[in-house]
Formats: sequence, structure tokens, C-alpha cells
Amino acid sequence: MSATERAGAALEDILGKLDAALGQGVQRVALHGAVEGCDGEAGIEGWAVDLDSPDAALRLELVVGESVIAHCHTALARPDVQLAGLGGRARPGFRFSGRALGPLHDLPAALRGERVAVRVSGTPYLLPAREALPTAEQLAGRLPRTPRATPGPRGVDVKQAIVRLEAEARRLTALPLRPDPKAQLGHIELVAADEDGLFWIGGWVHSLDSLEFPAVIVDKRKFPAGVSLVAYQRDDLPATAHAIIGVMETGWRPGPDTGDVLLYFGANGEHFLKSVSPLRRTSTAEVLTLLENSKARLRMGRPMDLQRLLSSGRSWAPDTARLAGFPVQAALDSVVAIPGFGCFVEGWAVSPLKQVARLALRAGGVVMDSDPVSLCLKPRPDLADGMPQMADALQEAGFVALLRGPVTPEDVSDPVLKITFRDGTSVNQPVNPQVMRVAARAEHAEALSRFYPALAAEPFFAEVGAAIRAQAEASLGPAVAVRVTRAPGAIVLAVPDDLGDGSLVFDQALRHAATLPPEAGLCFVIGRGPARSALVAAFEGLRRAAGRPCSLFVMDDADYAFYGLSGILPEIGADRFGFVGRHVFLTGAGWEEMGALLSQDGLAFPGFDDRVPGEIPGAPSADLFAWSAAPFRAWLASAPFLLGGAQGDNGLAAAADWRSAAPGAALRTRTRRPAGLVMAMNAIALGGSDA
Amino acid sequence: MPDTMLERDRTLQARGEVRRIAILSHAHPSISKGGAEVAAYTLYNGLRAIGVDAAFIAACPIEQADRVELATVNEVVVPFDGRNYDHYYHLAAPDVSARVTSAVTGFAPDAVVANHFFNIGINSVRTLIDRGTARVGVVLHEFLAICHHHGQMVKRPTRVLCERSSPSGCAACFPEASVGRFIMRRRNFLDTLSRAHAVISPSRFLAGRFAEWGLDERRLQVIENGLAETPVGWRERAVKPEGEPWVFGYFGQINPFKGVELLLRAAEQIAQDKALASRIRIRIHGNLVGNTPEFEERFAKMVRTLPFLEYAGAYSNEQVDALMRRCDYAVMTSVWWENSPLVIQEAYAAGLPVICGDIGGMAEKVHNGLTGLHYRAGDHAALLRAMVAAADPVRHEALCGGLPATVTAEDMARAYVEALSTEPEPAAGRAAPLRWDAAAS
Repeated sequence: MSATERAGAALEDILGKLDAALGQGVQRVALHGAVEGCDGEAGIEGWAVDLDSPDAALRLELVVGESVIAHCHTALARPDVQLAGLGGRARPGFRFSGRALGPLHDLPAALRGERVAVRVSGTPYLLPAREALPTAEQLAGRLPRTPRATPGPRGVDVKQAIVRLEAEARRLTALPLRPDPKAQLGHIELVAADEDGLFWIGGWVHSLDSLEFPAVIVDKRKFPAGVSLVAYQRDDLPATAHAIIGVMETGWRPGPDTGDVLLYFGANGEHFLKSVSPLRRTSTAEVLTLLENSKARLRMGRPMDLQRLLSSGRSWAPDTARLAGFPVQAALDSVVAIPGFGCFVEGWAVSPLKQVARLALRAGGVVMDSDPVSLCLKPRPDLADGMPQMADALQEAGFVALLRGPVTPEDVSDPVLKITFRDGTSVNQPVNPQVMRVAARAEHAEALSRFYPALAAEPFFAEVGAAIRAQAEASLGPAVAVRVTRAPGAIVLAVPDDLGDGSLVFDQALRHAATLPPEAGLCFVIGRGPARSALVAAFEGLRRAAGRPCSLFVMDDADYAFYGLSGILPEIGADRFGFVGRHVFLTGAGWEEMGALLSQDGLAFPGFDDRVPGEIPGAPSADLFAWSAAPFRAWLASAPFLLGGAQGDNGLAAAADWRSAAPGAALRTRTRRPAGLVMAMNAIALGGSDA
Repeated sequence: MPDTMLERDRTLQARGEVRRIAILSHAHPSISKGGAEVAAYTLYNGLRAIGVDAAFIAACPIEQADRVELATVNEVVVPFDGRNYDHYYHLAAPDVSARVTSAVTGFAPDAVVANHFFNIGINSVRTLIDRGTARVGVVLHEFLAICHHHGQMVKRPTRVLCERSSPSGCAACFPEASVGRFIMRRRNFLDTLSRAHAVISPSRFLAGRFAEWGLDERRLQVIENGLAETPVGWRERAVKPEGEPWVFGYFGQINPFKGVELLLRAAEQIAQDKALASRIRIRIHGNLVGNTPEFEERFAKMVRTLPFLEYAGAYSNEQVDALMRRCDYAVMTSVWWENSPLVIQEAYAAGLPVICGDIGGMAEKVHNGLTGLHYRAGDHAALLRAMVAAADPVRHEALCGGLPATVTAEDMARAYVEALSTEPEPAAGRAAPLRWDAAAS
């Protein structure tokens, strides 16, 4: 060996050790996270972030001893973690689904007593757990039993193979790898990833000895990979070359600064593929299409296995029903999302061989699983015309379910429904986004009875009501001042959206304003309906003619003006106020009474001069009262937020001693008593009483 | 002017009664020629003719304000933006109400006639009443205050005649509105109308409906609308040659409420009787508005194929007298109540008896067997029987002989002055005074 050769060998040795050190990782202090739940049915879930790269998703490994059982990436929304200042744009939540824990059944006996753990890939960092995690054997015992008589999809075999090959590839990462141009066998042209750790590549090669092999991806550092491909003919390639499409198990993901990527393979990494520049990132839907198209021009490999892998339980590739290997048709008719809580879904799945056992919906980065209590199957005779031979299958083809998960209205892109059947097989079905709705208001809440006619009796009703109320409160913007003139006392009137009733409010105010004390102000709250502009004009006409302080506020929905008072009263400087809700019209006597109440203390409820169906005569109402601003605002800070803005007295009468004021002070043009479901939700918020 | 009327004018003047009157109109007749604005302008001219200082204050859509032709110095236009007008309670935007008030106070009248509240806004009328500087009379032109369905008292969607206004009945016609809103609507209109010096109706029937609705009868006065111009040589008709067919003329807009469908059905029956078809001519005048394509196609086809059925097209007010004189009878086919249709007075002035349905304002104005013939409203067979009965020289001569005197603009103006000059009757519960009878006598 010459001196030059010795120096070269030494350098390679040093580089190899450096590579190995980088590849194995070093102790990272910026990693944080937790395992928060471990259950055989729901899986293992928690969160993880890398404060050095808060915008990057982390790859996690479920390990037993040194054996990696499953992978996943952080991809679930965790507002609590992000609100705590941890994490960046990445979603820090993760979940190993119950299905992903299946390999625990097949562990060697020596490992069964080891505790399971979650590790950040490429690091020794194990996520701390709130409670001691179970052993592999304990956890396997809690897994749902999958009928053994029915073999799983063959794609699972591919998955196990590439996991094994990735482990083998760790050896290659310790080797020096050089991009000798003579060793380049082809190009990687496209990549695609899904949230469950499957990573897909496509491209072409001059020659290929094997379709399944260990490999190393070099993108600034080395990543071990297990690869499984199919090869097929492509017209734009020389006859001797092969187009390839396949799947990899690897921790590598292309980043925004990814440049050339090299995929080394062979016994000692002597061959490589180089990425084209720029490397195209595509969807798993295109991968499915490529696999489908490869069948007609196939040279090597089993594209069906890869297709089934894409359509297997862990994947969210859309539209896998046609690849399922059994006849099935499915669709979602309606989805109503309750932000932060989950979705109600209604749809159908028709298969002569299978029955629906579980549902899951992925919307954006959130995966929602069906609440086991909620699943309801029912006949769908309306489908019979299109499926004349499926009468038996239609008897339980319809389904309704509540899917729980932290869905956000801002991120419901590319929704996909996963239907899991009783034999453990599953299909994915893309969801028409047009069937998706968000329940954030009272009228949306009422529509939920379509899914469950007796929703109020369901065990999850209280949670549903609380979630919708929370969403309605969070989405209600503040009262925005259009014009403010301060007054020590004021009558605040919520104006109907309808031009007629809205005009009447201003007309009557103009007519009766003279009966108020000279310093008393008038304050109007309008909504954003089609008559908004005409009502602003009506306000301006009133302001010019009334000769007293007049203010105008706009709210998203003036039905909720009661809750807008907390911001309105300090802005107009009113220490004492009277409130007149929407669809309430003061009589002449009512105007005089409200004017008098502005100079008195305490909480007072004037009476109505009407017989509106559903309203209790003489009962105090949140739509007609007078009080002082300070105690009202103090009470409102902890008062429940009610859908529709008002139900009875909104709990006001329990807040302070009160008195009845003059009867006949106002008329209502319609009832404010909400419909059944909303009333039940509000009643729970009010402490169980139907106010 | 007869001596007795001159004497009455002098008496009123001597008593210091109203001599300066502002008329509010929902439109100006130079823009549109509906019955209400024509009646309002006729009153304006009538008042000026009897020596009353009068102003004509007309609402006008802001986009049409430049098209208004003001013929006299006391005519004022109040432009309004229709997008801000509330068609439910009939409230004008505050700025429009302020302009109406300003125009009225600028004229300083001692009486105001709100000839309809539409476009002007019932709130503007109420403001004038509240000011108390002038007596305010409100003129009813249809049932708009008590019926949200275009004031027709015809039910939605069946078009069945409505016998009585009530909040629950109205809410049945408009399921999108609550009973409470109709209670509020009634309350709001009553609040203004019950404080007007007079609520003037051109027919007893219309006044009766408002009384049933809840308006104090003491406020109600019945004054017939006058004709803008009295035809020269009225009732001087040439003797009808023997054997000439009898001509039945329809005059007015052709829309679903006017019931021309009845005439078409009658024509179908006439076509099956050759002898009858040779004795009768039906001549339809007016423009087609708001009909279904099916109706218009059928209408055109029948006009083409039936020789005794003629469509004479649209006409102007100036032409109506001459066109009517070419007919023997005027036929009304309305399937709603009607109030006090001008066409009846025009027919009388031209010397035509009127054949009309036996309901509402038209039945009131046409005395069956005296000034015309009634048929069961909505029944085309009954209409045909009436036409056949009318095609008789003896009956025609008798009916022509019973036609009443024409009410002129001056007659109308005098009746208004008297109504506004007279304190309302103190006792409730009596029938509305019949000012029309007084004016026509």
C-alpha cells in the first residue's frame, strides 16, 4: 500500500466514523415530549417536539428493547402544546394506532417482558410517560383480537419486509459512500409520503438485481432505508432500462433545503440513484395510479402487493376500494364537524361480504376515530335502484357515527374516510368536501338531530353541547364600534337583521326618545345581514334628529348582543343601562319605564305586553332588563355562554336581588326560546334547569 | 258651478275652515299613471279649481327624479332610495321622512292629505300627525295596511278571496313571518291611522274592511274619486243600428288579478254557438303584465282564431273615452275585491253600463239592474249569462238611463275640504258617512 493509499484509507476510516456518529445520533437536549396514553384499542398517543427544528415533523419509533415495532410521524394538532409555546408550525401530536401494535403478538419470547417505549428516530431520546408503560406482553394482551382465519392484506408482508431491510441498512450507514459517476444506475424522479411512515419513490434504473434491498439515503446525513420496488416498461426510456415505483421504510423526509439526494444500495453501497433536480413531490393518489398503470407493462415485481400496502389499515391513500380485493362501495352523505371535538358522519358502505366495524376520518392533519358507543348501522333501501342484487347487503349498509378528534375548521383539506370491517380489512374513501359542514352556531347544533333523533339522550350529548357552545363563543367576534358617543346611562337595543323590524326599532326610538332623561344615550347593535347598510343609514338619520348621545356597534350576530355588552358598556361609558334584545319592541310606556330605570339602582325586569307562544308570562327575560354596568360585567365574566344568545333570563335572576318593573313595557314579534336540542344544551350549561 | 256649491264654499271660508292643503302622493303622474297618483293629482287640480291653495308633494325613486315633469309651481318631488324603504311596516328611511316633513312645513298648510302612505312611509304620516300643526287625512287606495299581499285581500298561494284580516290568517299566508310580526304590523298602522283627522276611502266596502280590522269608524269617511276631466257631450251616443253586434269592452291592465281568463273561457263557449258569436264582440284593451307564458300564448291564439274576440292593445288615459264610446258595455272580470275602480266612472262618463263581479268595491259602484249587471265573481258561465242578458236593446236602454252623474275633480275637492274641516263624529259605532253620495248629489 502506498502512502497515498494509506492516507486515503485513514481518511475513509475517519469519515466512516464521523458518518457513523452522525448516523447513530448524539444526545439531543432540545427534544421534548410525552407519552400520554397507551391503550390496546386506541393505541399509543402523545406529543413530541424538537426545539431546534420546531417546524419539522419528528419520526418516532415504537420500541421494545432495541427492536423497532412501528414508526409514525408527529402530525396531529395539539393546540395545548402549541399554546404553551412549544413547537412551531409542525403539529406535535402523534398516535400509534391500535392496528400498528399488531406485531407485538409476534415478538420473540425474550422481548415480551420488556416495556414498550417511544423513541425519537435517530436519537436515544425516549419520550417520558405519565404512567409506566406496559410490557409488550401486557399490551399485546389488550389488543383487539383480529380473526386469525382471515389472512391480512398481503401488503402487510411488504411492510414487514421493508422494516426488516431498514434495520439491515444500518450496517451500510457505517460504510464510506462515494458518488462515483460510474456507479450511478439511474434517477429518482418523484417522492410521496403519507402520515403513517410509508414513503414512496419513482424513477428509473439501467439495471436492477433485486426488487427488495437495504439502502442508504444521503441528504446531508445518512438515513437507513428498506426498499421494495416494481419495475415496468416506459416509452421514454431505452428498452434496456426499467421504470421503477416502490415503497421505502426510512426516517428521511425531504426538507425545504433538500438538494441532491443519493440512494446507495448493493452489498457495500456500491450503486446509487440520484434525484433529479428539482425532485418532484407528489401525492399517494398518483402513486396508486402509477402502480395501476404498471400492471400492463410489468417487467418485475408485484404491484398489487404495493397497492394493498397503500390501501392497508395504516395508509390514508384515497380511493382504495377498487384495490381492496373484495367488492365494496361507500360514500359519506353528510359530515358535520365540531371544531376541537370531532365529526358526526352519515353515509353508507355496501359489501356483500363485510360489515362495518369502525370508521375513521382524516381531515387535514387530524385523524378522528369513531366512538365505539356511537356507531349505528341501518338499512339503506334508497340505494336499491343502483344495486339491484344487493338487497341483503343494504340492510346494514347505512351508518351514523361520532368520530372524535381535534378537527379544526381551517384545516379540513383532502378528507378521507377509512372504513374498517369486522375482519380487520379496511378501505379508504375520499370524501366530497361539499358534504362537510362546521357546527359553530345554534342552528347547526339543531341540525345534529338528523344523525341521532334522540341526541339529547346519548351519553356524549353533554360533551357535544359544550364543544358547540365553546366554538360559538370562540368564533363570536366582539362588538365593533361604528360610532361612539359616551353617556352615563344608555338604553342598548339589539336590532333585527330584517329591514322591516330593524327600521321599526329606529323609527320607534326616534319617536319615543323624547321621553328619556336628557343625558340618556341610545346605543344600537346591528348584525352583518343584507340590510346592514340600510340600518346604518337609519341610525344616521336617527342620530341627527334625536339630539342625544347615540352609538352604533356591529356584531357578527346581534342575537348575541347580550354578550357584547361586556365590551359595549365601558366603551360608551355607561354606568347604568337598559337592554332590549332582538325582536323586542318597547311600547310608549316601556320607553318611559326604561328611562326611569336608568336613574334607579339594582336589577329590574320590566314586563311584556304580549302572549308569545313558548314564553312564560311574567318571567324575567335576558331580552328586557336594566342594571348597573359594574355588577353586570362582573357576573357576565363567569356566566355560561348560551347558544342563540338568550334563553329565559340567561341565569340573570340568580345573579342578584331583582324586582319586577312596569308590565306592558314591550312586545315581542317572535319567541326567543330556542329549539329543543339547543335548549337542552343551554340547560346543561345553566346547571340543568330549563330556564 | 251651481249656486248651492258656491254658497257652501263661501260658508266654509267664512267659518275659517281648511283653505291651504298639501297633498302627499306616493308617485308623480308624469312618471307613472296608477289610479292612486292620478286620483291624488285630480284632487290637487280640483282644489286649485275651487280656490284652495294646494301643494302636490310626490315621492319619486331617486333614479327617476330627473324625469319628473312639474306642471305647476306648487309641485315638489321628494326623492327616495327604494333600497332603504321597508315594505313590511311601510317605513321610509329617516332622511326621506325628514324631507317629507320639511316639504310640508315649508308650505305651511292647515291640512295634509296623505294620498297613500306607500313610498312616503307611514312614519312620515305619523310625524305630521304628531307635529299637530295641520289636520292630516289619510286616503286608502287598497287594503295595503291590512293585507301584506300587495293589499289585495287575496290569499297566498291559492288566490282565494280573503274575507277578513287577522294576524294568524296573515301568518298563514306568509309562513316566514310570525303572528307576532303581524300583530306588530297592525298595531303600528292603527297607531297612526287612528290618530288621523280622517281616513278617507273611495268606497264603503274598503272602509268597512278597515272598520272590521279595528279602525274607529268615526275616523272613516267615504269620498269617491273624481274624474280628472269630464268628457264633453257625455252620454250622447248614436242610436245602435239594428243587427249590429253588441260590443263588450274590457279596459285595464291584463294581469292575473284582473281575471281576463274569465273572458277567454266565456269566449270559448260563445265560439260553440254560431248565432251567439254573430251577435257579440269582445274587445280587450290594456297591456299584458305579469302573466304566465301559457296564458299569453293562449290569449294570442284565441285572438287569432276567434273572429268575435279582438285585442285592441294598450291605451292612454286620453284615449279611453273615445275607445269606450265604440263599445256598448264595459266588462270587469277582476277576481279580487277591487276598491273603487276608475274604469267604472270612466264607463259611466262615456255612457256605458258595466258588467262586473258581485263582490267588493265594484259591486258597490255598479248597481245591479240599474247601472249595470252583476255576475258571480270568478264564474265564467255566469259572466256569459250576464253578457247574453245584456245583449238586448230594451235592457241596454234601461241601464243607460240609470247611469249616475260623473264625479268631477271639483266635486271631489269640495268633499275633501268638508271632511278635513269637520270634526270627527264624537260617537263610535255608527256607519261611515257617505261623502260620495253627498258629492254626487
